[in-house]
Formats: sequence, structure tokens, C-alpha cells
Amino acid sequence: MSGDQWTARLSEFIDGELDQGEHEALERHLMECGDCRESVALLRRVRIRAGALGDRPPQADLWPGIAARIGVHADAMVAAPRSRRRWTFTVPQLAAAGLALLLAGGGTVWVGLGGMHGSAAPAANAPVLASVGRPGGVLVSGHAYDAAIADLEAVLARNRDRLDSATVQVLEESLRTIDRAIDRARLALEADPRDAYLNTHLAETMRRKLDLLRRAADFASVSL
Amino acid sequence: MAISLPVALMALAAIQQTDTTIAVSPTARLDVANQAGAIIVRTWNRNELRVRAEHGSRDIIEIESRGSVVTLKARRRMGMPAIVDYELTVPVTMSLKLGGIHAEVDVTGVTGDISAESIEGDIIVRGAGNVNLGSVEGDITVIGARGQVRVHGVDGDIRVSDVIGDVSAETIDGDVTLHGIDGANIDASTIDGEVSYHGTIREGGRYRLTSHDGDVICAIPTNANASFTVATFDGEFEADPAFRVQVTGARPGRRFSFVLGNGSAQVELESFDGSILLRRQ
Repeated sequence: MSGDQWTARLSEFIDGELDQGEHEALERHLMECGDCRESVALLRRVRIRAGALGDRPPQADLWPGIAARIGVHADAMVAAPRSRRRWTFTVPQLAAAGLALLLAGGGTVWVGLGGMHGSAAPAANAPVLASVGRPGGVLVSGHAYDAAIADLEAVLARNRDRLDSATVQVLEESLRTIDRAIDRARLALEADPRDAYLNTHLAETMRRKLDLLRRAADFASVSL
Repeated sequence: MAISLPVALMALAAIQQTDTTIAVSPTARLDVANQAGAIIVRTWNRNELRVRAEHGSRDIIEIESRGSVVTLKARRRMGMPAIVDYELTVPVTMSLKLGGIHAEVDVTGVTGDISAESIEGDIIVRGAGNVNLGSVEGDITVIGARGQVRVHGVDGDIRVSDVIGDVSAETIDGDVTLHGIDGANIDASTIDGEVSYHGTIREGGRYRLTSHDGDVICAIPTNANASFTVATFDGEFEADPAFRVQVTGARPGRRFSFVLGNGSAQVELESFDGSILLRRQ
């Protein structure tokens, strides 16, 4: 099996789900392939961190005060509450979701997985290490994604009164649209966690949320 | 509602017009920052920039030229400028960078690169080289660009037509319609809306049309050479019989693939909860 094909089986290797022959073959491959060794090391760190995470309680609810300042009825927020739940992903979901690890300074961390392209068909029964539109790379997250979302939401909340109320309502409605899509994808994944399309779709939808929040925070910070 | 004559005259007096023309390099870039108001751009075959602006009497229109960049903005001694409506006439080859909070942008005839960003307002570009447009609340339309087209919206429709070049278009609440496109890399997506593509499928090209909660419609020539990947969670797939699609793949009904011709291009059609339709042109 070539390096490209082993890339899609690394999560199974870590979870101990390969048969003996495949496990030994992959171990031999890892002795020769630095990229795959790095990927295994990263996936193991993600698994350890994900298993050690406790729930981080949400920050204080900023919405009532903001709604009062901008003249938006607070019930408008309550009608479609944003989810601040902590998501727990299995390692295959973490690896396959391709979520953005967005550092506070706006950086993006990539894990290069040689040979994996967004359009490559996954091996049967294998979690897909999806590259979200970027050949050869995987965006990895989980806790970091939640933290990035929370940080951006806080920035937006602090600067929300610099945007007019109509813009705020548009942004809020679009965030609700994305959150509904994320929730539906997540529910579908609970029934079929290894589905390649669902994992990629969830990852892409979560990226869209990050992008929107980042743009909204930028708008709020430059508006006068 | 009746308005008394003194009030009407006072309103007219409060509105002022600026009309000035300066020499510019045809390859310069014009930067316009407009808090609120229209930015209308037309072209002429002169190396000159004409600025016509309608604004409040306390607003001052400033034009600054530094190197290859000409900057146009309004200022007021106290506070922010009110609404300024610009009508600009620029050299055909000039590049534009336009931005505003509540700004409607309408550009026709420019062959240079155009970038425009508005929080609230429609953006229309006819012509242009490379195009990079963004709006939070507003529709975005691009017609006749010759270059890379990148469009990102939030709440609004995106319409791109008669373009030769790669196209990337995404919005959240709205439809994405690509028509008459000839490009090798096409990426169109929305969360809540329909995505439709009518155009060529180039050899070795990559085409990705996705929606979460809307239909995906792909209209291509029957002699296209492409490998298709179709994925949906709760939608249907339908292909024109002329394509003679034979579905393969491990999970028909949710994610499957098929090949047309030599399979040279890569086409991904995805909709979580909508229909995916393959039509012939």
C-alpha cells in the first residue's frame, strides 16, 4: 500500500482497529515515512488532549446587555439560542472533520499529509482525513475551535455597538443559519460517524462560521 | 406630505455638488472610502479622473495622489461625513479599491482589477479583470470579467455571468448563480440557498458546487470529460438521460461517483438536504 493510502488509515492504527497484517505493514511504513510519523504523533496528542478536556463553562452571557444597547429585543436572541455546547469528537471525527485551529493572532496551523487531496475517495470503512479545499493539508481542532469561536464572539460583542442594528441582525441571522446547519450535520454524524461526506461537510460548515465571525469582528472594529 | 417652500429651499442649500477633474496615470489605482452613499464608476478614454459628488455643505471632498494610488474620501470638520454620492469617470485601465459601510457600488467598463467591500449595499461590476467583492447585506453581480473572480457574501444572492477565469463564490443566506462561465477552477457554495452552474468543463479542471439546504444544479455540455462525486445526506440526484450516468461507489444514494468521457476534470456536487441535478446545456 502506498503512503497516500496509509494516510487515510492512521486513525484506525491509533485506535487499534487494523487487523494484524495491516498493523504490521503500517508499522513498517512508519519506519520509512516521516510525514506519516508526524501525523500519528499529532493524532495521538489530539486524542490525549480531547480525552483530558473537561467542560469549559461559557463566558458570561453578554447578549442581554448588548441587545439593550442596540435596541434589539432580547427575545429575538432567545428564539434561536446559539449553541455553546462543548463538542466531544472521537479521534476519527477530529481528524476527519478538518476543523480550523485558529490561534488568537489569526494564524492557522496545518498538518501536512502528503498526497491527500480534498477530492480523493476514502478507503472503505476508513475515516477520511479531509483537506478542506487545500490539497495536502488538514485543519485540526476541537477544543481550539471552540476557543477560537468564543474569542471571536467576545470581540464582536465588545464592538457590537459600532455596527448599526440592521447589520447586527443580519449577522445574527446568518450565524443562526450556520448553527442550524452545523447541528444537523452533527446529528447526522452521530448516526454515521465514519461517513466521509458528513465529516467534510461539518468541517466546511464550521469553517464558514469561523470566517463569518472573523469578518464580523473586522467590520465591528473598523466601523465608526 | 406637504413641505413648505422655505424648508425645501433649505434642504437644497444643504446639498452641495463637487465636480472636479484631475490628471491620473491610466495604470494607477483609485481608492474610495465612502461611509454612506453610492459609488458609481464609468470610464472614458482619457488619462483623467472626474469626480462628481453630491454631499452635505459641511463635507469636503479630498483627492490625494501618491505614487500610483489616488485616494478619494470625504471629511467633515466636526463628526463623520453624511451621505456622499459619487459619480466617477476613470481611465478604462484603472484599478479600483472601493469600500463603505452603507455603500452601493456600480462599476461599468473598467478593465483593471476591482476590489469592493460593503457592509450594506448591492455591488454590481460589469467588465473588469480580477475581481474581489464582498458584502454583508446585499446582492453581488459580476458580468463579463476576464480574470479571477472572488465573491463572498453573507445575506444576499451572488450572480456571476459571462466570465472567463476562475470563480470562487460563497454566501450564507442566498443563491449562487454562475452562468456562461469558462474557467478551470470553480467553487460555489451557500448554506441556505441554491447553487447553479452553467458553463464549460475544462480538461483537468476542478469544479465544486455545494449547498447545505438548497438544490445544486449543474448544466454542462454532454461531451464533457469529468469524474463526478455526488454527495447528499437527505437529497435526491437526477441526471439528464443524455449523460447515460452509471453510478458507482461504495454507498450509492449518499455518496457516489461516475465518469463522463475520459474523466479528466473533477466535479464535486454536494447538497446536505437538497436535490442535485445534472442537466445538459
